[in-house]
Amino acid sequence: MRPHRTALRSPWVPLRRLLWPPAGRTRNRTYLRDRLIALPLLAAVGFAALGWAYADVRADSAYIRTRLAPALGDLADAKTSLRIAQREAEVGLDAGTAVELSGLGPRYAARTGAAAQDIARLSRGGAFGEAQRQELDVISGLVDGYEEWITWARTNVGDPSLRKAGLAYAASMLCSDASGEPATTRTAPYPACRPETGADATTVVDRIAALERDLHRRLTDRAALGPGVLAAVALSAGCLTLLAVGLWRTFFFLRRRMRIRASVPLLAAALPLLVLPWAVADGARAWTAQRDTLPYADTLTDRASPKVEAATDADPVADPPPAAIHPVTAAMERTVADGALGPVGTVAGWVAPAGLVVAAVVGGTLHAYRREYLLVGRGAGGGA
Amino acid sequence: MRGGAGRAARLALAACLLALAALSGGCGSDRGSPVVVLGPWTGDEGKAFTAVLRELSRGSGHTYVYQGTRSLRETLVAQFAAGAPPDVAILNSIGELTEYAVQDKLRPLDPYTAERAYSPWSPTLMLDGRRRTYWVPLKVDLKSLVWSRAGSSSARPAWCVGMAAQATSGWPGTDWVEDILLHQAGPTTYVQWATGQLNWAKSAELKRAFTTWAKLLDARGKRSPKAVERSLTMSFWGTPDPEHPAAGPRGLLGGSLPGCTHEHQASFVRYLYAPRDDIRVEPAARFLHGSAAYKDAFEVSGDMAAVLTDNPGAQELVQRLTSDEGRQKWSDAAQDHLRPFFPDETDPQPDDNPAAQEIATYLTKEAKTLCFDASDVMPPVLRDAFYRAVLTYFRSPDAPTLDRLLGQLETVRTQIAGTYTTSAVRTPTEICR
Repeated sequence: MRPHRTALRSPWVPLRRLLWPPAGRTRNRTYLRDRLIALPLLAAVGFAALGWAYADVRADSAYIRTRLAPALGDLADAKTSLRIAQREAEVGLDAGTAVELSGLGPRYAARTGAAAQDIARLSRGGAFGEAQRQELDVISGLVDGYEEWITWARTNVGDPSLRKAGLAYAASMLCSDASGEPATTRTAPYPACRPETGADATTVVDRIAALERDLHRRLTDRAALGPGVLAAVALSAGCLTLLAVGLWRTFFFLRRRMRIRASVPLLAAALPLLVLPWAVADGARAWTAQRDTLPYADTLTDRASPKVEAATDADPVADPPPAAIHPVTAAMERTVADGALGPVGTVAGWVAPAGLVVAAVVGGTLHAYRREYLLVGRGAGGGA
Repeated sequence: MRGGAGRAARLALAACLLALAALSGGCGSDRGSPVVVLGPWTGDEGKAFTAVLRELSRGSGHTYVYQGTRSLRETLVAQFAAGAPPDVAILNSIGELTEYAVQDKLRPLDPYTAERAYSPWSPTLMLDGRRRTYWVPLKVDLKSLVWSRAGSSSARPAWCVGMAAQATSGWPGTDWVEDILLHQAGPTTYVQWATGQLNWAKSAELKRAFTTWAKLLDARGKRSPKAVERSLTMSFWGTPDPEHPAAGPRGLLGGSLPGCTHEHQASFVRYLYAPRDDIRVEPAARFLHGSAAYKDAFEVSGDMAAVLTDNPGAQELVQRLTSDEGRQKWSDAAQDHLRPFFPDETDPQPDDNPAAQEIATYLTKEAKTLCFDASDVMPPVLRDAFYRAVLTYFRSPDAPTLDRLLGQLETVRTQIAGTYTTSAVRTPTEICR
C-alpha cells in the first residue's frame, strides 16, 4: 500500500514545493527555478482574477447607474403619466362640450407627451435587448392608438354614449381591468390598472409591468455577487497571498543565500500589491451600494403612483414625497455613484495588465539572478 | 526530482490556463441569430403561435422572438419611423400590406414560399410591371357566419353585438355591413367598393347595406340607449364570468350579453365556443336579406406573413410556417379548440367538433365565392374611418347620420384615391375567387 500512496501523492508534492518551497533544504538553483515558475504564474492569475472580478463589480455599478436606474424611472413615469392622462381625459370629457373650446388641458398633453418621451428614451437607452425593444415598440403603438381614441371621444363629446365608448376603448388599451367608469363617479381618482401577467398581458400597463419585472430581476442579479465573481475573488485571494508570501520569502532567500540585501526590481514588482486592498475596499463599497439600490427599485415599481406625481406637479417647490419618481431615480443613481472610493475605480481596467507587468518583472529578475548564479557557479567549478 | 518539478509546472500552467479561460467566460455560445416577428395574436392564440415558433426554431439556427399586439399598424409605423422594423410582420390587412409594398418596405418572398400565395388572400400586386408576391396567408378564417344558442329561433334573432376591440374597435360592425353588401349586391359591387372604385355617398347598394343592418338589429324593437351603449363598450370576446373572473372571456353568447341569441362572427370565435355543445353555427346568408344568387358567397379574413428585412432567417421562417410540415406542427402544437384553419384543402384543418368540420367544409369545398374582408382591403386610413363611422351609425342609425357619414367616408376615399395610381403600381383587385 505504501508505494501506491506515494504514487497518489506524487503530483502534489512538486506542486506544493512550487507554491510553498521548504526553507533551508533546497538547492539554490532549484529554488530559483521553482520561484521563476511559481511567482509569475501566481501574479498573472491572481491579478487577472481580481481584475476581472473588480471590473465586473464596477461594470455592474455603471450598468445600474446608467441603464437600469434610468430605465426603471422612465417605465414608472410612463405608467403613471398615462394613468394621469386618462383621468385628465375622463374629467375633461365628462364636463361636456366645453372641452371643444378648452381642449383636454395642458396636463393631458404634458403627460401623454412625457410618456411618449419616456418610451423613446427607453428604446434608445440600451437597457433592453431585441425582444424588449420590440415590446417597447408595441407599447409605443398602443399609446398612439390610445391617443387616437381619446381624440375620437373628444370629437364625439356631445354624444355621451360615443364619448364613453371612446374613453372605454382608450382605457382598454391602457389597463386590463379598465372598468369604463369615469373618474367623476369612480371612488378612486385614478384608474387602478392592476397589471395582468402571462398571455393576458396585452395592455400598456401590463407590458410596462412585465418590463419592470424584467429590469428588477436583472437588478437583483447585478446587485448579487455571482458565482463567477466569488470564485475569482477566492482564486485571486489564494494566488495573491501566496505571491506576497513567496516574494517575502524570496527576499530572505536572496539576502541569506546570495547576499543581495534588497532586490530593487522585486521590491518594485511588489508595489502593486499595496494598491490591491484599496481596490478590494472599493469593490466591496460598490457592491454594498448596488444592494442599497434595491429598495429604490421597489419604490419605483410598486409605490410610484399618479397621486404622488400629481401632488408633485401641483407644488413643484415643496419637498418631493418619498415615492416621487424623479427624486427616487436620482437617489438610486446617486447611491451607486457614491459607492465609489474616490478615483480608485479607474484602476479596475489596469489590474490584469499590472499583473502581467509584475509577472514579467518578477520572472525577468529571477531569471537574471539564476543565470548569474549558474555562471558564477560554473566559474567557481560547481554550485551549491 | 527534475521530472516531478516539470510535471508540477505543467499542472500549474494547465490550472492557470483553465482558470483564465473560466474567468474570460469560456467559449462563446452561439444560440442562433434572432428573427423578430410581430403579429396580431395575443392571449391563448399568441401562446399557441409561440409554441409553434419554438418548435420550428429547433435545428433552424435561429431564435424566433414574437410580440403580439392588436395595435399592429401603430406599432409598425413606430418601428419604421425608428428604422427598426421586425423581420417578419403578420398582418390581416391587404390594404396595409399594399401600402408597405408600394413604399418598398417589404421584400419579395422567395419563389418556393410564393407558391403558397392562395387567392383571395394573396391577390396579384403589380410593381414596376412585374407580378410580385410579398405576402402569403399563414392562417385564415371564414366570416359570414352566424353563431347561435341551440334551441333559439332563427326567425327573429336577438343579436349579440360587441363593438370594442382596443385599437380596432368597430370592426365587428364593418363585418356586418360588408357581409350584407356582399350578399345583396354581389361580388362585383363588393370588389368595386373594397378597392376604392365605388362612390360611398352615391352608392344605393351601400346605403341599403347600412340600413339593412340597422333594421336587423332593431328587428325585435328599437334598442334602448343603454343596450346600445353596452354593445359599444362590450368587447367582441365578451366578459369573464363574474363567478370565475380568472377564466377569461366567455363570449357574447356565453352570458356576457344576457338575452341575446345570435352572433354574427367569424370562425375564430370558436376558440370560446368549441368546448360548449349548446352553440351552433350556420352561414350568415340566411339572415342578411340578400339575393339567393349569392347565398354561397362567404367573406374570409387571413393573417398574412410578410418579410420586412434582409435577414435570411425571415424568408426561411415564412417558408417553414407555410410548409406542409409547418402547418402540421402548428396544428399539433395548438390545443384542439385553438387549431387554426388553413387556406388549402390539403392543409390540416381543425375537426374537434361539428362546427369546426362544418366551417372547414365551407372554406375549402362548398363556398362558391370567397371574398377577402373588404375593410381589410381598403387603405388603412379609409379602413379606420370606416370603423369609426360604423360606431357612430350603430349609435344613431338614422338617415341624416348615414348620409353624413357616407359623405365623410367618400371624402376620405377621394383624398387617398390616386395614392398608388402611378403606371408602375397596380393595386390588388382580385379579392374574390
